[in-house]
Amino acid sequence: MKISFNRFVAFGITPFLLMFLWLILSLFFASKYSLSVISVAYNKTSLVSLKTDELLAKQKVSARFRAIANNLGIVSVRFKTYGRINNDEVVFRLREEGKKNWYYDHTYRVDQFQDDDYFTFGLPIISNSEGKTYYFEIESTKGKRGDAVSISATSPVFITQYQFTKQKLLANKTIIPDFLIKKIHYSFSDINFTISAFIYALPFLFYMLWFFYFKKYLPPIQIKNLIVKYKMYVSPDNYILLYVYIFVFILSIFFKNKILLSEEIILIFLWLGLIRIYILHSSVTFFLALASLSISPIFLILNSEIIAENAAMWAYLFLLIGTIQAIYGLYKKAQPLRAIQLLLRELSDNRYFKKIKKVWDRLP
Amino acid sequence: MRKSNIVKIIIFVSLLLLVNFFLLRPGFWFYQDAGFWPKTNHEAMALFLQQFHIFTNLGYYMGSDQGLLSFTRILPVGFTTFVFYILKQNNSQIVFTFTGYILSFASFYLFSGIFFKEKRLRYIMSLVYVFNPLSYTLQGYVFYNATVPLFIYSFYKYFFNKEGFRAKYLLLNIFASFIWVSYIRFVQGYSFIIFPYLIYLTLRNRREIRLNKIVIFLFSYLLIFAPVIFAFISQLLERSDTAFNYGNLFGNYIIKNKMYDAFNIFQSVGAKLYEGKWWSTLGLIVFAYMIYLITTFSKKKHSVLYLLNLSLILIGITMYGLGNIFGDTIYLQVIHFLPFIINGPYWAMYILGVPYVILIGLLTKDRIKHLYIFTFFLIVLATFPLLNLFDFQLQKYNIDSVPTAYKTYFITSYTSIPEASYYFLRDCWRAEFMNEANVPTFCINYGHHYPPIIFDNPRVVSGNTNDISQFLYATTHINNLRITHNLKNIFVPNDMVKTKGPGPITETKEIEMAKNANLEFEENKLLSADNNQNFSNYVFVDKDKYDFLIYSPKTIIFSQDFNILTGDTLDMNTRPVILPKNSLQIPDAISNNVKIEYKISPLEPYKYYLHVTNIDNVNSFLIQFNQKYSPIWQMKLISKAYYDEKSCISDWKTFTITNNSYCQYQNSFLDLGNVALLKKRNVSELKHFQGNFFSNTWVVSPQDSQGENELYLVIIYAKQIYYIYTILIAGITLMGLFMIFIIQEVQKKIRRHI
Repeated sequence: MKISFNRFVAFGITPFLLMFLWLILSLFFASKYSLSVISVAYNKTSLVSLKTDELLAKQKVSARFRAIANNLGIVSVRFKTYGRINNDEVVFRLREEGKKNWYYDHTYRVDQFQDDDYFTFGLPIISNSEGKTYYFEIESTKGKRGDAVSISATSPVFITQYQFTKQKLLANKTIIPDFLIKKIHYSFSDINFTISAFIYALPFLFYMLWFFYFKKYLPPIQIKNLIVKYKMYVSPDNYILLYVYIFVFILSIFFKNKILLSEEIILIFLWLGLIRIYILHSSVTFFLALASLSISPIFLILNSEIIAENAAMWAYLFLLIGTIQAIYGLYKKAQPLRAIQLLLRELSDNRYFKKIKKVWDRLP
Repeated sequence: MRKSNIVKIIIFVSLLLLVNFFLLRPGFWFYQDAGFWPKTNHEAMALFLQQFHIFTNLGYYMGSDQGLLSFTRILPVGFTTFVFYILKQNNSQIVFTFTGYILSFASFYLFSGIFFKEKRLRYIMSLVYVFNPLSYTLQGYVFYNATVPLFIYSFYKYFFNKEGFRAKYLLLNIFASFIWVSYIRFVQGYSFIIFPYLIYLTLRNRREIRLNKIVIFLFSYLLIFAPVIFAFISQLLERSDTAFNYGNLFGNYIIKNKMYDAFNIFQSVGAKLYEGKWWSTLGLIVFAYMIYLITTFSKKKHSVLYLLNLSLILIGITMYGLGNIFGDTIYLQVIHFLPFIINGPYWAMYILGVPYVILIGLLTKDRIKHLYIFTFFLIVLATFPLLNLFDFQLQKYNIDSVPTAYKTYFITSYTSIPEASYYFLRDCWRAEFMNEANVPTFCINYGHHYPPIIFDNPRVVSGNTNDISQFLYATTHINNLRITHNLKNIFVPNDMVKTKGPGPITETKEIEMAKNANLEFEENKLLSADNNQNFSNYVFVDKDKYDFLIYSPKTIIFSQDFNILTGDTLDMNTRPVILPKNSLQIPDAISNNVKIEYKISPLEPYKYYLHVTNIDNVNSFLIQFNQKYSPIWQMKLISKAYYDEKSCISDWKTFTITNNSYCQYQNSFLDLGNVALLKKRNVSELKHFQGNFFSNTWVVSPQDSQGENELYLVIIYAKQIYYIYTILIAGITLMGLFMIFIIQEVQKKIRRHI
């Protein structure tokens, strides 16, 4: 069967490029770790002794994990600081299971720990860690009530990282496929990565959906027209982009662990785009702020702090955009540059300045 | 306004105050920061005089350059002293608090008149403002709330009234500025509200601006705030390590607040009234309600004022959640410049009062029922302290309930020379009687008789003073501190109990440490004990034979190791001084029989008059002054007549071991005689260096004594001389403005009659 070039592009190259784009964007932007690091997330079940309230002096938590690769170099543990600067010191120890001696043993001041965030315990890289089971424990030395940290109950509780260097990978190219498979596989153990990766997969998913289902209704030439003539979406009954956006927005509230302005910049720009496409009034943006903020107390009562926090963050972002939108709406007709020019002219026409100028001119 | 409406408003306000009757109970608050309320007239006066000194040691044996903190608190401290002298402990704080409420109400009422005409709306908004949740958390210091509205109102009236220059508005503006600067944490925060408002009002009324008003305004500010400007600029020029202590300190760690709490309008700080999940939830719902009003408002034409206030609220929220919004890197960069707005979760929230209320006013202007809903919310909140009578933080403290031992040692008025004291585990602990009285931890402030030698507040001191204080924590090896710190007393708590509520942490470990310390001090043969059930007071048996504040060392010990302080190697009889090995200008031989007599006043810690005798004219001699080292301390040669001008009000006390004696002189309110010191010759600055690790050593050579066998000297914190000038300039300017104000008002009245 002869395959036409167009079919090859439609069936082969385009999906491949979109998948490649998905992987690349996910690996580069969705993961907060370096490309050459494999990170594996663990939840509470991996802890041998679990204690989620304050870690008082001499109390410890311990965990066991099986190394999935060589080059184990970091164990990051999520702590709770109760929003204060604590003065405790904790000892972090790690050894291979079955061995008596600790491979690594170091004391850390907890005043550098962040609330509900990971603290990175770096250790000398173990080059032959793959397949071995490791045991680590964290012990408080002088924690006391009101002045101690605890292990956060939020999953993942801890993360292990395997550090490969570019030189090592390039020197031994046979390990690259294994490295990539593990990297992709274990990246999905992090819910943040999964959600972000899902966003980057949307072009591929939309393409496939279109290709197998909508194509007969929506031939390529129409797609081109849809993109060029984007204003047709403004029709009263066509809010598909808005719905997609709100779907993604809800997804990020419910499934992301942390929302930062710098990380959500794409979504913010998309919303600005939608404002332009649909000519949305600032009250719509404020409404989203209201909706987000209304979610927050509900989930706070339900003890889902992360969702409450995410919702509050989106409330802030929409309030910010709404305010900027309203300020823009107020001043776009006023032509601010022209206004400044007029103001300066007014000031220079002021009789006192004229007097000063006169005196100045008279100076020898 | 109709009479019936006035009556309704009066009844309403009275009811509000009635539900807050907790303010009216006898006793006063000793909560941590507000524990600075004076306990005796002498303390009140010392607090007031502190504003006129650039170097102070109030409450500590060691002192520090106050820098920006000098003179800034003159207004509230002056008022505190005034009400304290008239009404004493119990009632003075109540009057102080009520004055704050009234001032805030009046200020907001005047301010709201710039934007709203309807009086009813303005009255309700002023009530909302005064009874906003943050008023309670200000713990009696409600007058801070008046700053923003009063400043903006007076600025507006001064610049944009059509009557020309009116001194009363300028004076009102200066008054607001003094409140503004009186609490260092609000200086930055309030500027985020005040300056945008000023820009907005200036643009709106730009045609009314007159150059003469600008010149008078700037000139008056420059002169009246000269002491503050001088204190700050001089620290910058000195490259003082304490000028940016706050920025450096807070820049070391990141505080991440919950974003949902940024929207919680029931923010609770010091008093912890509205803590917990349910309060956060309620606070969020109230804010969501406000956004609901915003969404409906935006359908109308946007007013600039509406967007200004919305933006200001967003700035507050952004600052509150900076770490969460932008991440660690930006947080750390910002905190160096704005430590007072993002240090801690709450300072950013304090600035929101005005924009919140103005925004609520704008949103509900035509929908008055919504304003009633908001007012209702806040009244419910105002009644909360009534419902929670046993709230720990708001309990008032009756000084009569303090055990006699504490009263005798720390509360009884003491006006003589203080005795350096070492408090094992710091000078503040939770004592048993505090549990019985169900009151917060009471920290002994302004120990006029027994000031602590430990001064480790990194916001105020840095360098060796701070490091040594940290080093000496919980030590029981204190014998050498007699020489380096002039130590005479040791206090060890006996009634320490576990922490309850805010305050220093005392747990089983600390209680055990205090017990062990008692055992060790009891075995120390140099000490005699005077114990009671509240604390043990150990006194060095020979404390009347030495005074190491100002003395002439006989021997020099070279060391750079702090451990020498907690050793037992120094022999007091050799009058040693510890110097670093590389000290410059140390003569090979020093005169060892020099005698020093000095005059001292505990209320003027920046100046000491010395009479030095037994100078041998061949060898140099050392003078050691055990006070925080600074190159600003200068030793000046004065005449006998100048020395004699200061007469003693106490007997001379002689110390045989240190071969010196002192008497107390009568302090003056504003010693203009200091100005004469400008012309006096200095002992060379090259011969002034750090001795005993943190204090001042001078080498006085035969050239300085010029063949005389006695010398008259003064040790002065030199900046104080210039500081006095700036205070005089400020005072004269203020008096001038007052005179213009009186003339203008009289003229106005005469014109009306004509």
